[in-house]
Amino acid sequence: MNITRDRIMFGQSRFSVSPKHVNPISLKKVELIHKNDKSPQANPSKLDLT
Amino acid sequence: MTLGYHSLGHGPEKIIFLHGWLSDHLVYEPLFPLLDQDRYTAVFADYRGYGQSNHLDGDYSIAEIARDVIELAKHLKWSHCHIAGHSMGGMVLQKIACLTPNLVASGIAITPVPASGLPLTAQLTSFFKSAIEDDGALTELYDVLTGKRYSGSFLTYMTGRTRRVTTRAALLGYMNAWTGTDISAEVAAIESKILVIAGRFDGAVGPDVMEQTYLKQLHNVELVTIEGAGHYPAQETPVELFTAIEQHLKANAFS
Repeated sequence: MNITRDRIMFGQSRFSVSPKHVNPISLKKVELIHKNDKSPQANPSKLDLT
Repeated sequence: MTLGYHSLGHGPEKIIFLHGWLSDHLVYEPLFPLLDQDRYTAVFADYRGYGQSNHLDGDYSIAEIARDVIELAKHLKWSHCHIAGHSMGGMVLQKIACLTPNLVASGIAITPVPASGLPLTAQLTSFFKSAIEDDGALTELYDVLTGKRYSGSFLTYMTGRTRRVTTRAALLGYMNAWTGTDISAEVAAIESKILVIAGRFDGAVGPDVMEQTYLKQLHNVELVTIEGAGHYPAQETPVELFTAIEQHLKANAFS
């Protein structure tokens, strides 16, 4: 057993999909609902704390 | 025979949650307090050999789980519901949509195994089998699956939970199922909207694998990637996961 790498790489052969199994109107949409380095900024407070 | 399950809520929007290979329905426990119980009725099923179905044996196949869940829906008198599946459960939800298209209002596949399965090399087969038997190997597997980022306490907790909720016989049987089953020729016919949720740090089925499989194999599909999650977003990023699920459910409401 040797799994020192960071990822498990499964057999890739089945990832190749026959064209007859692919709908040409595939809807592909990738949304990132959270980004580590681009999190929404907090609303600036209007309170004067000084 | 009906699968054991945990039920939550009494709302008109119905959803069945399916767990993955290494956990029972409690993998979803961090989501329980977030669920609007007036809007949703959620049923969290346990497959044969897991949790509340621990006493049930079978052939441990993807088709068997699908048939059992369809029977569970009949038991609940549900003719239409959403189905969410984590990991191996994502493959199951596709099988259910193939067998009973009218039952599945929509699907949510969470860090899911693709319809084409995940065939293993001989080396990986050996590793996964060792994880079934050996706690150290299982802990190492959890570490890889979650991006090698977490405290050993979390990994030990996850390992202990797997040991508590299922048997080695069930783990071996279902490993053969998700590695050796290929239903990719069937799933192109699925019309229901399927939301796929991937974790950026998933060490096995990350967004790149989703783009090569789900986005090509299904035609009514959307991919959301949770940047902070690995293979277990319900544990790692429960609020982000729940938000993605709820947005999908509201957009595809049937009640």
